[in-house]
Amino acid sequence: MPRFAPRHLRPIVRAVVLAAVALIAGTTNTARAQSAAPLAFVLEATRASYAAGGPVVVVLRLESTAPVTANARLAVGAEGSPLQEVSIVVENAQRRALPFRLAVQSRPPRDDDFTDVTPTQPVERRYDLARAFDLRTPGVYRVRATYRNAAVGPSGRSAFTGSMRSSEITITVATP
Amino acid sequence: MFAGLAVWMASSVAGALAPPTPAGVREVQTVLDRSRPIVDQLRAARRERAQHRAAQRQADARQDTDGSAREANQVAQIDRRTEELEERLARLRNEAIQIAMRNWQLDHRHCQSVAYHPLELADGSTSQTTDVVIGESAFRSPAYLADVLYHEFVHCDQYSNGDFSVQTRLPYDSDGARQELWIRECQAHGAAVAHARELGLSEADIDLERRSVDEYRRQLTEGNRRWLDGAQGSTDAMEPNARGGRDVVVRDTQGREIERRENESDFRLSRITRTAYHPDGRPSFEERTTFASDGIVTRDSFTRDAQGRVTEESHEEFDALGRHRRGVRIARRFDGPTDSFGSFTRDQTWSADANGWQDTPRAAPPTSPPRARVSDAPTPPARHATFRFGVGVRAGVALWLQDRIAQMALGAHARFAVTPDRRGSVVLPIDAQLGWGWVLFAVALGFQYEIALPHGFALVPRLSVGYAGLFLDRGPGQHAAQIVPEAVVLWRFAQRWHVGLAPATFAFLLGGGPARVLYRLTAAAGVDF
Repeated sequence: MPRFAPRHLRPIVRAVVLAAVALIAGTTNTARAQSAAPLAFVLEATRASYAAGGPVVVVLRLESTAPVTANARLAVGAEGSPLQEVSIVVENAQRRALPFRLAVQSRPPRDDDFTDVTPTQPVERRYDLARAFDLRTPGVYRVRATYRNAAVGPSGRSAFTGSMRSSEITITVATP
Repeated sequence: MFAGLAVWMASSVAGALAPPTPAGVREVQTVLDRSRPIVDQLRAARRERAQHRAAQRQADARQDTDGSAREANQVAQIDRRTEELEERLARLRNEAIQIAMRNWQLDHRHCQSVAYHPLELADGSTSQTTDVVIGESAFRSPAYLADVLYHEFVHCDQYSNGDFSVQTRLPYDSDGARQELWIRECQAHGAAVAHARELGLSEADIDLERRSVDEYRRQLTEGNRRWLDGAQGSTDAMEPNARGGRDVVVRDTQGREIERRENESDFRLSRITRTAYHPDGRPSFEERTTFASDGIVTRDSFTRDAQGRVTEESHEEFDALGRHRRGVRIARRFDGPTDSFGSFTRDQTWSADANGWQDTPRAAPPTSPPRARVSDAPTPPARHATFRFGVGVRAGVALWLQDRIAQMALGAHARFAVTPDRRGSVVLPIDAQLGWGWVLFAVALGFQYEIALPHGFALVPRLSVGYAGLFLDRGPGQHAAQIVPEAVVLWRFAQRWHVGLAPATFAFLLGGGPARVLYRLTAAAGVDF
């Protein structure tokens, strides 16, 4: 925090600074989204309710309204990991994020990880949340995912770079 | 850029690797070849399924019920076909895994299980219970499969050694555990580079491994990077400790201890100490993570510059569920010439509780720094005025020295700090002296500087100049300029309040008649904000 701000004004100054940063960041993301506006990242539940202790499979989908080259590997890893494209946040009913429990192995994407996403050819991957998160307790969980790609793609094809956040879905885990 | 590759070569990691015979490689390749038609069919089926799902969504959007049902039926048919293909593929993938483990002699004794999983979207993963899962992308070639397996077995070995003990108590996505995870990823990818020949990796695969190390290394803090570099070519050994247990001690190529995992007699990990060194042998980074029996984890770290001065330190505490309880981080910058362990010229402190980090401390460090020198500790803050604004009142007696007349003196002042340390302020004093039938009113503008004394006291010399007017009940008054040097002794309490005594205030009145000197003795009180 700037030292010149009186102590009691610092929360206000901090809020103003954060709002400005968020505004700038939002503008930047919007710009990125405009360059790849057709592309969207979707998270989808495969069932209305899942049995506690069993697999909790969700669908991760890249879809587009126009042809876009994208890194379609969709490897799921811990938040902040530099080599996985997708990070997932699962929150319990108390809005507490569950810890991600896997050490995930992947390398920088290869050329064949990139593909053209078109309106009729989305990229879909299924993922079992129960392997990465402790979902043995029955209840309602909120799930959202972030897709991130920094790799420019194979030569001659400019791939989407940037990040996209899926909308939040709610899943129910019930006693089997 | 791959200057900082740290290769984890501890002899115990994942056991010995044997380069397979060409026949051994061919055996895996044969299974991969048998899988290929199934993979192609699955890919086509998934593409087809995605198309039908897209068409179904479009039908839903058009509220075309028949179209949606038709597409849903197609999707269900494909799912049934895919299920059968996935089962056949899984059998072949698991067969390839078993053959690769046997032919490369991959030591997987620390792994709970190893299996193919069709929903693993990365090459592989290891859970905290050392269950290894291999994804579809690992089956590019026999050597690549062996590489992926070896990587996961390094993680299993790290878990069994206690390397991952920090993580088993912290969620991977907490700040400290992420660093731990990135270090272990660096080591696992680095181990593959070190054993590239035995694994039979292609140049392209080796390049990918190196880039992976580089990516993870870039995420590390400076201290952890230095520690990781120190771990290059290291060896580990079990050494008995004083408590009847055995510690795992990791030493670098020069025999210096870079990590010690202290175990209790029942081999329960109680503490991990890590050290990195400057080229001259002085410690550059020290970190101590302590695991209490009640599940509380504390971590203290110190980064030292080449002269041994602590430039950064942190003290953090996590609860049994890995949630951040509290912590403090202090960064110091040594701008000017200082002695070996001299005072720092700038510092910044963050503190944290369960709600996250703040830029000002709200809690004391949970533990005292190990081996900290007294001179390393931050200077306790002096209790001088740290607020920018202040107001005060005072009351007492005023003596006209030439006329030997005493009056009641009342006054008030406002100040505004103008120096960076907020000790120097511009001050606006207003004074009044009340006598029978007349009153002296004075207003001035001046400067004061607060000198901190022990025990919360402060001496405040002040000089102000301004106007003084003598107003009478009858007759014209007099107007004069005044110069007022004075000294005030303050005692500060409750951070913003003060009381004080002004034992020496002299007002020199010039003009409007002969010069006169006033002496005031007043008591003062005030508040800052």
